[in-house]
Amino acid sequence: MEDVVIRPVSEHDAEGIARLDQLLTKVWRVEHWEERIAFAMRRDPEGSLVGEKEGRIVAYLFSDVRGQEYGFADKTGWLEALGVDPELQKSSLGRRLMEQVMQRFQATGVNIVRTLVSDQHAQMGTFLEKMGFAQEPIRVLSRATG
Amino acid sequence: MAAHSETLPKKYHDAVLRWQKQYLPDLDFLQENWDKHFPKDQCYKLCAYREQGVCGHIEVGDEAGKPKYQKACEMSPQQANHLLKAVKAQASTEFGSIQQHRLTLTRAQSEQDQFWVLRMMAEELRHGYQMLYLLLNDDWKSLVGQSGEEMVEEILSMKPGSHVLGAFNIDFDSFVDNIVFCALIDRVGKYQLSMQKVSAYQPMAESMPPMLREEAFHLAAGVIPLRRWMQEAARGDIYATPAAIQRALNKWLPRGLEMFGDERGGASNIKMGFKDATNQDALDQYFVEVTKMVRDLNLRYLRERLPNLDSEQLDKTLLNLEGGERSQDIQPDEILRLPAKGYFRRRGIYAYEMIGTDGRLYKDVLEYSGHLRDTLPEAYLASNDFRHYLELLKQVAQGTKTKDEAQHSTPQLSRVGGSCPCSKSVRWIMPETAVG
Repeated sequence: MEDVVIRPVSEHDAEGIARLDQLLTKVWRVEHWEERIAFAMRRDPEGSLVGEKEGRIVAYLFSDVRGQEYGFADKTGWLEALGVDPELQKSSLGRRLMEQVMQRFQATGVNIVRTLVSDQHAQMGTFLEKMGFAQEPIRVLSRATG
Repeated sequence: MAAHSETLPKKYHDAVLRWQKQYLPDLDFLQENWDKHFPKDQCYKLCAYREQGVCGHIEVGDEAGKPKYQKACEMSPQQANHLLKAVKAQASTEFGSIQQHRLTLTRAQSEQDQFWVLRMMAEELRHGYQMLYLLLNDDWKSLVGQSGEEMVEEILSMKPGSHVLGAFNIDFDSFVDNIVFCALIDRVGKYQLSMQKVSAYQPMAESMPPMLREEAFHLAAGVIPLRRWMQEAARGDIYATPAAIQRALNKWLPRGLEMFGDERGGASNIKMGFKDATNQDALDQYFVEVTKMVRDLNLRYLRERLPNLDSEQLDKTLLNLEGGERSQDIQPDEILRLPAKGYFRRRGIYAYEMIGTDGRLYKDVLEYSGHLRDTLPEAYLASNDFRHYLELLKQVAQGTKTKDEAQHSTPQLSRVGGSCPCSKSVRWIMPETAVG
């Protein structure tokens, strides 16, 4: 795995992330990633990471730090988007990204990290449990706007 | 990230506001419309920020491991002078870029582009304010013989033509300049700020993270419109053509490369603990990053022109075009290319070498000036800056000036200090004599 370089996301990564995302979701949405990267870089240029192998983006992890929303008392580190190239999903790349973000959170005084995962993404749920995440007694509510 | 804010003493804060009224009169308009354009972002505030939790030990150089300097008097006079020069240069660039952007701001074709550039200008004002804070928050006079007050006066009196770095003495000719400047010159700023994050002077180190977060937006203010223009051009629109963008890249990239300083220098910055990379190393990283940017822009163009091709096919097409081959009915000259590092240089190891955009070495001034005419924006050819360069190039070619003499023929900071006749009267308490 040493040939994968982990570095902060840059505004040139939209194309590379969109290609990986297309591989994972079958959807091409480069504009979405453009906006997502611009937001991440304004918030904390070093808080969101990509894995790069031979010039190709093979993983990404977007995170953000916010405080006391949804009634939580503490400042929370949020994991917002994680993607790893299917060919590298059995490697430790996801773990490496996660550990680096955890270090970043710790360094900035964040004591708790949260994320949301759909039951439809069982593989992601298993990965997060292996990384030490446990379910919280929280309900996720939604409704249509109309 | 946690940062606390501070404001300058009132007379200096007011001096900056008066400067702002002259060079950035639309700041109030920006603030009134902030939520419309930037609903997710905290509203702009003119202040200095100091990041909390920044490393307290010197990270590089001879003094690595020792506590960082909290005050200028803890440094050697040599270190203080060196740092002060960097702070002044930084301040000069921040205020200077606002003076440049204002010339063509009104020519933006979209409200979004205009507001993004306006926000960028406002944040540059804050960055300039941040540097003034560093000058005023310490006693420099005992070390360098110039008070903070005098230095602020010197910086606020600078105008295009008298700024420390060449890139800030060049007028913008169109809104393409605003955008390409953000994409190329602000990117150099990002590198300088990143290198100074390790600064052995704690107030400087604590100033960098908030500035870097804002700088990320400035890069986006450049790259996002460029992407859109390339996509529009691929659809046949003629708002900002790849040819116009190419010429603007040729105009600004050489100045951006020179902002890193001479390629042979920068070791003393590391030795003294102020930066963590040499000029050459930083320049090389920058060049790689800009190469990526150009590749990204070309891919946007190709994807729009060839919507049925998948990513691998697009890569292959781009590779062919970069190699000079026509591909998928697209000509090689339709895509953007980064000029060679030695093209149109006036400082550093390539200063006044006659190197073409493709790296070709020219022997004849007339032939080279023809190449410059064909590769630079037409409006820029009529500028005083270009005339100055060409005259020096001719003198170097004739042997009446050395390259070194020519390099030093650009405006220097020392020329502007105290140039204002009322400088001794302290401008910031006399509004009627304020800047200008």
